[in-house]
Amino acid sequence: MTELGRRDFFKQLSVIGGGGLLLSSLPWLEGFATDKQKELKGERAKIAIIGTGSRGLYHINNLLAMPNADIVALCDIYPPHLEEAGVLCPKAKKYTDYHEVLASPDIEGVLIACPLHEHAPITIAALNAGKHVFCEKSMARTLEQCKAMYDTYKSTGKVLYIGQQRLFDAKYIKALEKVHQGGIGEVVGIRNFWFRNNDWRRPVPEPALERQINWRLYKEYSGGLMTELATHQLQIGSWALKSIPDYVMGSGDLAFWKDGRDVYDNVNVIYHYESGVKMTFESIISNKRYGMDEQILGHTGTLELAQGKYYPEEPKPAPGIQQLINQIEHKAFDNISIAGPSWVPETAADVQGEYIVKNVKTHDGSNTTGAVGDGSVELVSSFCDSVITGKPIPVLVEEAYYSSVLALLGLQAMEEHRIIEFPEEYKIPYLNHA
Amino acid sequence: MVAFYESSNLLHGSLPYIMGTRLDALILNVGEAEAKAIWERMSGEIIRLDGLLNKFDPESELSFINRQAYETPVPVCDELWNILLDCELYHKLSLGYFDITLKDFRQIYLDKEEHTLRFLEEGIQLDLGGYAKGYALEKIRDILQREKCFQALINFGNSSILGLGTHPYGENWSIGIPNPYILQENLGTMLLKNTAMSTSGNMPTHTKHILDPHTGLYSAKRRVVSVSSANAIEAEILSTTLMVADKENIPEILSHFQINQYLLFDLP
Repeated sequence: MTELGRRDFFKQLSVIGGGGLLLSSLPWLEGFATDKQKELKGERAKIAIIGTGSRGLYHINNLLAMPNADIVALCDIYPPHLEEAGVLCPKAKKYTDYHEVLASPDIEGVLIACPLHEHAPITIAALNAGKHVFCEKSMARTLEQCKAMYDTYKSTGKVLYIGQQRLFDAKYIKALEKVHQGGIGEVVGIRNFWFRNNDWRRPVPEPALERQINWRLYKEYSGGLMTELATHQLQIGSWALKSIPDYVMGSGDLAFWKDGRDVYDNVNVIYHYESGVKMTFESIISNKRYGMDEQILGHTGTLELAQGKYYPEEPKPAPGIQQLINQIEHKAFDNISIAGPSWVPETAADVQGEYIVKNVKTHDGSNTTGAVGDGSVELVSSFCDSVITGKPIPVLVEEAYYSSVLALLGLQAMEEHRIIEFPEEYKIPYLNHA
Repeated sequence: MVAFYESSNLLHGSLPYIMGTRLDALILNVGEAEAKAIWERMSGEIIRLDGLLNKFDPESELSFINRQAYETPVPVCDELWNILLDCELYHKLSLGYFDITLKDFRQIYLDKEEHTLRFLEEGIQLDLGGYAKGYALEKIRDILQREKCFQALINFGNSSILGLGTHPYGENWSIGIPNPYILQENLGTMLLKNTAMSTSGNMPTHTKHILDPHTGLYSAKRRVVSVSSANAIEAEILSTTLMVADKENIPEILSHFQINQYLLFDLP
């Protein structure tokens, strides 16, 4: 990410130079602030990419444009993907065994974009090998693995990033700031949904590679919609409510795409918080009408996070009339300058909503590798900074941990047809369990 | 939405979406219970009128006429009949600038025996946008007077305002006219005391929405017109008329109306 891009990002957040009050409530952005750039002295983080499939290529393309990154190694067990990445990074050394990558002293950080079931073993091995790690979300395939990753992160003191890019998306940051400042009143509900209409398959050159390429469709490697889609959205619960749910229930089925896969294509999950507030996640991939969004419902307003929009519950009072009422209340007489052509309510905030940040970039959730302007670039750029400084950033891993755990608990509730209490052994010192 | 301000004996009622805009009412010095009863009656009446006169509501009587009147003569209820006669009169008095067909008033036929309406040309539609808010303000005035409320300010989306009595701490209601093109600049002020005012104009965000029935073209002028009159309907009709009228016709048009004041600004 260029210096200019970084300035634009903070401009959207209205933080000049990166200092000031606002950043203290966004601690994970402190290292990313423009005034910290001097500490980096123009250094480049030496990065290895482990997993050069579609998401890996997306990151490679972004990293190539960043002044603080140097891709020195590529690793994949699937030769066509490794070749493709090699064309983009001709100087990078190519590996097929990640253990060799981790043994190389020239590599400072690894970016892991391989199938979910490999996240934990590779991340843990990398951290233990003294590498800084960026691992795509979800954190891991099982609760045990998530916890083991978290524990290793804490014990090694190395940098760990998980690909929860919403924490680096200006429209999300501003929206959540509004929530925390009481801008939508008391939060009374959170609704997450992700609808697509496609089989979620990648083309397979030969049948033997089906499970390797379409790993998302098999339980052995993936939690399906929960780990691949819900994890992004479930983070909103922790972020907005600053707490974790006490129990989870849900229902999931393979209802439409009965093509040999064994993950659900139709899920509905409810996360219950102690306050009585609920967060839902619904995903169907055989109808795309409603797209993707996260909606925070407050008693005075609503936020549509993916749209970057805010809707007040009641229309704002007409300013002139409010001014007149205030005059009368203060026993004063004055002019009110209101006369004009008819005010057209169709443009009013409560109907169309108002944008939370200027130049908002939105996407409909249909892209399966990465969308433009969703925070991914900022997140990876910040990772490179952290690799250079060697300092872990606060909040991100904890947020990612809980969103991954929530996704897996939802999956468990659906698979076991029962209400799952949040297990004590998976609570970490964060939020209401500090 | 209703709020009552005890210490000022002031009720503020509002309807956020009505007649294509928003209604705010300040009702003063009648006590909370009475003010609320007046607001209930007033808002009920406005909602009823919207259902009669709103051409965008497919259920309104006006929409029914717009769909049917070219095919066959449509019987019209008494209230709407009287409105149509009123509009016919104002069409003449405004030298044809006020035209609820927005096109050619001669293409509607009012059968004065049967009280039916027929369109003589296909595609003719009635639009009461330049009339309804004034009519509604007169209905509101009737309700306020019947309920012995003598102090109120009623604002229909800033374009149609009725000031009954005076501001509690002034000798009138003083309403400024901001320059839509220059922030914070005031073009003029109208003082209302048992009078209504209506304002028409183009805005930077809302250009070309007033049609000149003589040319069939939307006005692109950077003009703002405010008219105050004891009669809210006449204020309403004249503000739209003066928006499109040629300046040399204005004295003749005005000679047909009883108005308090008009302010016309042609902005650079």
